[in-house]
Amino acid sequence: MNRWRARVRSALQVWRHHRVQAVLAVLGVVAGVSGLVTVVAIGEGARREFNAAIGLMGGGTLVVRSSGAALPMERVAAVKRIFGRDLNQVVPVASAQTTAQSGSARVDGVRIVETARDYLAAQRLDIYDGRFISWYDQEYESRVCVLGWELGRQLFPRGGAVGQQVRLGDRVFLVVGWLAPMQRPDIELGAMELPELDQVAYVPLATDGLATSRASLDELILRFDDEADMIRASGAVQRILEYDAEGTTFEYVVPVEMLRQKFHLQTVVGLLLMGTTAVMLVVGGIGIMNTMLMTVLRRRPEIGLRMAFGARRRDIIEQFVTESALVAAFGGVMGLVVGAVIAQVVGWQLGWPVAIGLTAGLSGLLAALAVGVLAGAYPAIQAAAVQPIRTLNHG
Amino acid sequence: MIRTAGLQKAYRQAEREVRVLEGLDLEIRRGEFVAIMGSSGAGKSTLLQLLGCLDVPDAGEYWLDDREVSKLGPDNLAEVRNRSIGFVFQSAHFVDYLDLVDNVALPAEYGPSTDVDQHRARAIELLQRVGLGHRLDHRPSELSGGERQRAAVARAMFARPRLILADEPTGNLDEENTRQLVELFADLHEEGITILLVTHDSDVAAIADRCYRLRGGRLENLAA
Repeated sequence: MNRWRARVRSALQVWRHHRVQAVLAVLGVVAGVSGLVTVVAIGEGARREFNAAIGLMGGGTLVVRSSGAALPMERVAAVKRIFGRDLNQVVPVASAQTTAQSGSARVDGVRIVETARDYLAAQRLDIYDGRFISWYDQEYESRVCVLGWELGRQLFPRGGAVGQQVRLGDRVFLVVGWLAPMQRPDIELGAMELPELDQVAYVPLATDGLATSRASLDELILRFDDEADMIRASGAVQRILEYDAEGTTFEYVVPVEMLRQKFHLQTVVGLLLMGTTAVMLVVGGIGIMNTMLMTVLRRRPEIGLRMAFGARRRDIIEQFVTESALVAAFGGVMGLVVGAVIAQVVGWQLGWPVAIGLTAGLSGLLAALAVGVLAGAYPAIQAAAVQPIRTLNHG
Repeated sequence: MIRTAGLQKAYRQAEREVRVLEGLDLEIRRGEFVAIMGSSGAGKSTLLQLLGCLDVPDAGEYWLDDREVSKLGPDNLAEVRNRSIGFVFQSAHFVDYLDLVDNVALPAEYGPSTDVDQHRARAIELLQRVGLGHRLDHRPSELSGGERQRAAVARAMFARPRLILADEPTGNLDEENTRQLVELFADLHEEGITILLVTHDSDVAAIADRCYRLRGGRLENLAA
């Protein structure tokens, strides 16, 4: 312990004496580490957002949408049969637009979603009050509905929606549930825009899928395991649904794939940055190594002198490693700060999420320390490997 | 104290082998003050470097205090340099970023004790003894040649070695400084420290108990 304290004290004395070299070495490390931290922060930010978005949408979700043609229910049954246990949920959805009324409150253009009880889990919705549509409601075609958060607030500004009656179009429904406001990923998803789920009223879809005001389904949500190969699953579903059908094609949307494309740019830019950063780290490493080589070279008489008074090779190597590790650690910490600032600015300018976490910080510091130790050890090992008198007189 | 038998050392210089020491035998008893003279290039410094464990001989035996030093590995040699030998170089080398006290206490960095305060106290005491009490916090570069050599003697004494090796310590000094340094060596000799001194200056050599001349890779005894 004491010995290392003496080493550090001695290293500080050295750098105080050679300020310019110290500053140059530190700058090299700062450049490398700040670049690394920036890259990792951007990559980590993208990854976290990606995961958050998947968390909201479900990694194993496939959405089949009809574009005019009806989704044949017997084919849906076939999909269920063929996939068996691999398919966690099949949620049929039919929707319409109408007017909702309760007392004096009236809301136009409300989306009526006829669906099944699994819709709640498939869309990762939360109940604020009451319950969602149940199996019983579907079986007996109960006149019940569940309100989205926004619609509930508009119809019942003072709350207490559950237990009230609502007129949807020309029919009256009993409100049995009220959904919590929806969590949305804070990103734009282009073509895969999530449906507006707040200003919606959910009503039971009859189990045969035909006993509604509409004879066809608009949408089918299929939920596989989160780790499922969605490209294959989507292809298989398409073959089943469109078998021997002519011209009736449906739209198959895999939210995860949409997300992947969305994050493609960040991934590519991240890789490019990673390359640049690797170069910067190497340059920084070469900088500090060059400084240490020069230092060691210039201080060969000192090495000889120290060895003449009892320094072992290990002592010499430790001394120089301490010196360069000190510079590297200092540069590393500064690089962390600079990198964090750069990452924030980049994120702010490009609207990208950044996450400056443990990974970014630790990898930056470790890289700096590794570079520092190597940079100090190499020339010191070289210098300490000869007889003391060589370094003493031939410096 | 010191005994060598058949010590050999050669250097390679531009494809040519220069044989400096050719089977050198030397014996120095404890407490002796021995001077070695010789022309430039005769191998005086080489001999001193071998005896000081700063270099290893090509062949031959070297015994120091009943220990066969010529068979020791690098770490053990470092320990011998640290504890048993004090070295005074011709052009006193110092660590330029340390003050005089830390420079004199340099051997302590590699010694067994870690009591920094005690080390500094000893270094200060030694510096005062060699007349540098007013230079404690100076850098080596701020000292005159004579002061630097006296500081180098203080450093050589730091670890209380029983053997001090001095390689032309007065080579770069004027008369007054030479006199001061010679007196210092005489004092150390009085205290029972074994001293081996290489010099050009026969006046300096005159204070030694015995005097050798190194010629043709061997030692010739000179009347003291």
